[in-house]
Amino acid sequence: MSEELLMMLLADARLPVAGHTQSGQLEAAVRSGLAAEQVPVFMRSRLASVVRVEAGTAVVALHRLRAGLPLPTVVDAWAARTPSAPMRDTSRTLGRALLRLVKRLFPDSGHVAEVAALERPCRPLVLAAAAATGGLAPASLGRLVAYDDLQTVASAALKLLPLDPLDTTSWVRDLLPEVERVATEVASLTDPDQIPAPSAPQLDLWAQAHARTTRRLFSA
Amino acid sequence: MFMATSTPELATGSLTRVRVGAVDGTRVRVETDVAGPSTAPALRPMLLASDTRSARISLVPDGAMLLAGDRIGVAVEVGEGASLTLVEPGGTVAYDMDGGRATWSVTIDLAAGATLVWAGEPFVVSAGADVTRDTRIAMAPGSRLALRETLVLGRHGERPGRARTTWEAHDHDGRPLLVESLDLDAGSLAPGLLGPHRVLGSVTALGCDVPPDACPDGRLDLERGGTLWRHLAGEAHEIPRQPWECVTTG
Repeated sequence: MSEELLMMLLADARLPVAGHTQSGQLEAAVRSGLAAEQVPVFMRSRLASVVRVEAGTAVVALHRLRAGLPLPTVVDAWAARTPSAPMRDTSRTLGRALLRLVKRLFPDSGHVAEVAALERPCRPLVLAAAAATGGLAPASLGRLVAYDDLQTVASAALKLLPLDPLDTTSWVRDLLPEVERVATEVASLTDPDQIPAPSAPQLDLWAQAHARTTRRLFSA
Repeated sequence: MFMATSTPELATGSLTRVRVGAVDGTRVRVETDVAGPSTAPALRPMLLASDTRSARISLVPDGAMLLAGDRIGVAVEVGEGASLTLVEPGGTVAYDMDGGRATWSVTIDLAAGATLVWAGEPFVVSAGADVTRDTRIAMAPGSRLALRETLVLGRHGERPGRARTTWEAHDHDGRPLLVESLDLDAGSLAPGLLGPHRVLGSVTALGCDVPPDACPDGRLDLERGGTLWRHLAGEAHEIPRQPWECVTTG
């Protein structure tokens, strides 16, 4: 399969992987007063923090799958960089949904089987298994993680705020150079200790607050 | 380790060592020293109290700090079964460094069953300051850590300076418990990062028995045990005291 086509497939919002249940903490942010025009800077904050952790985790997992190295140290590194239990839980829930799809797409993949054997693998590990099987380059995997995050927030923003989809798509386009920067930064990582650990204190607190409310559109 | 990286800036560097040894006889063994040029600003350890198992030490700033080129190092070791409480007489202000930089490095090594309670005071990063703050923690089985940190970006009514922090705690097998970096400046006052808040309060409790429902506000429960409380505020005194009380009084 061509790398480009596999990228399109995995980045498609119509995939049955529960992406529509996610706002990337945007719902909690809006509840605490975030205005429509602040959505682009919110997206940028995610790219500067949680997205770098997820992208770095995915790329290091990809390297280790290809090199035949064990994955539990990658899980440890990711979990130590994700202090919010609801965020860890969300990533694992999304990992499970993605794993169902990836198992069907690549039934004979040893990489997928290896990740599936982990207890509740987080989403970046499942993406890494798909990338390892489908032949994605590390930088492509980094782009996929970061791009998907932008589109998740952009599409949630349309449900939460009175926005024009032409505007939100322009915001995603404007942030593509940042996506490329994240991908370049993580592409050469091979060791779990190298995974970036930038935290986003307000995102962590929003994730926590959101997990405790029952009146919500999005699960996270 | 701290002194090994030789740069011209080290002319003003200091390393404060605090060792509270294993319990022997009637009093816990306490060793402190400060290495570095006598003119270098340093934290002087002052023993406030000690008994059979525990010591209480104040880290008193000696010399003006924190200025461009300053390198403050603190290495804390607590031996098996011993307990150390560290206090600070006041907050620390990092001043305008006019293009220069300063570093503040802490290493904490806790032996089996050791306890460290460190009640940090606010660390203020003035406009023009550029500070690197590194914290490295090694936790042996059964050790306990309670650490309070308050980072303030800018004095009252002032723009933030720059603070680059790294924070890592590992257990005795080298497995990470909490790893975090923050590169904070005026750009960090953005939604999702610090929001409009210039004060970030943290209470980290590792190895402590914290009831599962205690102090839910701002509480982050870590994957492999341990809890981090985070609060964002406009002023340091607005950071709630409950998490620290919850951790230190059980």
